[in-house]
Amino acid sequence: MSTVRRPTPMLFWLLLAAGMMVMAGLSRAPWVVDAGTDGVLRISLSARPDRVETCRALSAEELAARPAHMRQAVVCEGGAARYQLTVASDAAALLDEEVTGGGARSDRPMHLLREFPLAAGSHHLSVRFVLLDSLPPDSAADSATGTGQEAAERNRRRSEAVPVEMTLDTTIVIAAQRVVLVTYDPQLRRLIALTSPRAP
Amino acid sequence: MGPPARPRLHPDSGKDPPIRRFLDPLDAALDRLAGWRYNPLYQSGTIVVAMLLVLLVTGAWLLLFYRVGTPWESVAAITANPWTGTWVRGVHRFASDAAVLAILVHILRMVGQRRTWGPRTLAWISGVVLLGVFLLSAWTGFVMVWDSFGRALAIEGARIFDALPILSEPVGRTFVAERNPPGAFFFFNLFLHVALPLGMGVLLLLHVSRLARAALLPPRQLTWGLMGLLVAVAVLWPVTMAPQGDPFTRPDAIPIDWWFAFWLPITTRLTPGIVWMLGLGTVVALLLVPRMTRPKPESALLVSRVDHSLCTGCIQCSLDCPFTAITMVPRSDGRAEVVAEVDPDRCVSCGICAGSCAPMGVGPPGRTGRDQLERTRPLAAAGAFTGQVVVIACEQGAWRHRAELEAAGAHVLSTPCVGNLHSSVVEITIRGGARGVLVLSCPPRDCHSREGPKWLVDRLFHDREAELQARVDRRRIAVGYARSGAPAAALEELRRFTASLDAFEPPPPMSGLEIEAICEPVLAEEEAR
Repeated sequence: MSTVRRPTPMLFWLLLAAGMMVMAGLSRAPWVVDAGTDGVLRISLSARPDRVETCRALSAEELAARPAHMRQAVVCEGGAARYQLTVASDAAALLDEEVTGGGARSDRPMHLLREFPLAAGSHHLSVRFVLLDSLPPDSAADSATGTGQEAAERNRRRSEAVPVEMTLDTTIVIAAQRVVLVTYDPQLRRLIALTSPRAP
Repeated sequence: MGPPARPRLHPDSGKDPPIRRFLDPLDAALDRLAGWRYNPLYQSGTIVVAMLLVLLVTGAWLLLFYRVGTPWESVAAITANPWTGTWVRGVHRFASDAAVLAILVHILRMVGQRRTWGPRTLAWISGVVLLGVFLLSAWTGFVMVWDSFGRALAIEGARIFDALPILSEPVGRTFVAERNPPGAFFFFNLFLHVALPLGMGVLLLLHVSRLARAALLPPRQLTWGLMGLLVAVAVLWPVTMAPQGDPFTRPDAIPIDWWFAFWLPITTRLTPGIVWMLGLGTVVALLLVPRMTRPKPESALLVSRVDHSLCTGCIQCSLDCPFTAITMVPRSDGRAEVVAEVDPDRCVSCGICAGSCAPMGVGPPGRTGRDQLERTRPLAAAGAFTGQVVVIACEQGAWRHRAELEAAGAHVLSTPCVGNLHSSVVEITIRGGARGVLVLSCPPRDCHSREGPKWLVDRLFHDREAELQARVDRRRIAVGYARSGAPAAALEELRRFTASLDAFEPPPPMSGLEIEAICEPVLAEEEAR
């Protein structure tokens, strides 16, 4: 048995080391994402839509016909409301879009994520988020809501829903490679524009 | 034997895949530089396993210092510790890069050598799944750092995932909200980063499940050499921290690991639907490789068969088969207890069993020991070998350089794999008057049949069944290693062997060409019983 040549380990190891350095270099080489000087306007919303529904109280006979665990005094039928979102910067329209709830039946919370490049500098930003559907008058719903846990639940849902109209008119100053975030604050129940995270 | 008019190991081996034209010279160059023992290209699969072990060890250490509540800060603290942090993280990172590189080489080799279909389909499919799990695990590893690269990966991954109508709330919003994702996200991510590699262990077992003696690690020197180089690179060129992922910053340049995220600059320019189509198309194409690379039915490989009348139940073929395709089963003809049985679903038709069978009762049709003798004996009887140096070359390797070898004065015969070669062929060549026999094998770690060179050497020089008979002068026989694409290596082997033959007086020629008669007393005895 024989081999053609004896190994030359030192040269081999040197070449292998050089190959590893190339490999290490490729594991950190920069990816130039955007060489421009624009900033970014990011619209990121998550909000629960209001319900467009008709409620009525069940009669005693109807309740009696149901199993005990399904005896809900008031039943409501309808769906989630639709909203219109418009965004303009310095009077130039950036977005005009109908927003509906998520999920197959559009009855889940609404989620929206859009990004727009904006030249660095000062901009007047106008964001409007308005209900498209007509909600039934509160009094009509109230008359049928009854009292107790069911009413409390419906009131909680209504209070969590996004307001029927929200407007944000503000001047923002955006720097290059920075992001201005427009989002919905469920505690404040209004749209806000942020350039950095708020204190927790 | 000349150009063989018989079933070949690879029926279409005359039309090599284009990849092989690129790989062969590279293999040959590294053979010249390092020798076949340390050629890392031959060790692509085992290097992947070695790198996975490095990842496991370094990952377990890094895990001790990682905090899901402050991911970037904790990794920054690890990176800032020069004694137990910086280099460990560097080794972890570079080992994963080396694993990707080795996987790429492994895939190219398997395709280039047509080792992707038939009984090897399971290994190919499990390999594709392994690759997918590895990339996913790496994705979670980069995200867990939550630097600008990790955040970019998370956002792009979420954008692609959100195209599927699975979750009502898009995952992408998690990464572009007012604050960075909560600790719960990083906990889940960490869980995946630990769980996925554990799943890879199971897949790896499946990947090598059809191999009798799977080599899982490279030779020791190469293993330690690679480890040393990884540490050296990690120390000399330490990994650094990219800026923390910040939802209010859009960096213009992100340091990314191109081995894993080469797709990132491409997919960010495409819609998620197109990305899904490209991704699924790639996966489907990879899964279809076994189907696309299998030969046409008319040239399909012929799996080994057992001649029950010749099988003595010695179990040698089942020991030698590299693919666990042969088992010994009770026989029904009243002779010795067991007989060999070939599982056609596992047999790759390497023919190694033919070389292991002293009575020459097993092997692919047309390639058993008896078939080999039938083709060689007339040449020996006609004096074709008289005074010649006979080279028996592997069809996958040095046989491709037969013109150069013949020009150098050798009489060249071919064998589909040196493991297929029966030692009796070597003997009958010597008996036929050859000055010497040089078997030119592919390098042991690059054998298409996995263990051909190993068994050949054992059969010729170490009395492994079916051993070369003691009456044959071993000085006139040699095994050399020369691969396809390295004619100079083949010629050098021939030159050295020829020179070695000059050093001693040739013994008197052996007489008689009926050497298979040595098997007959055994059979006669059994038949009498």
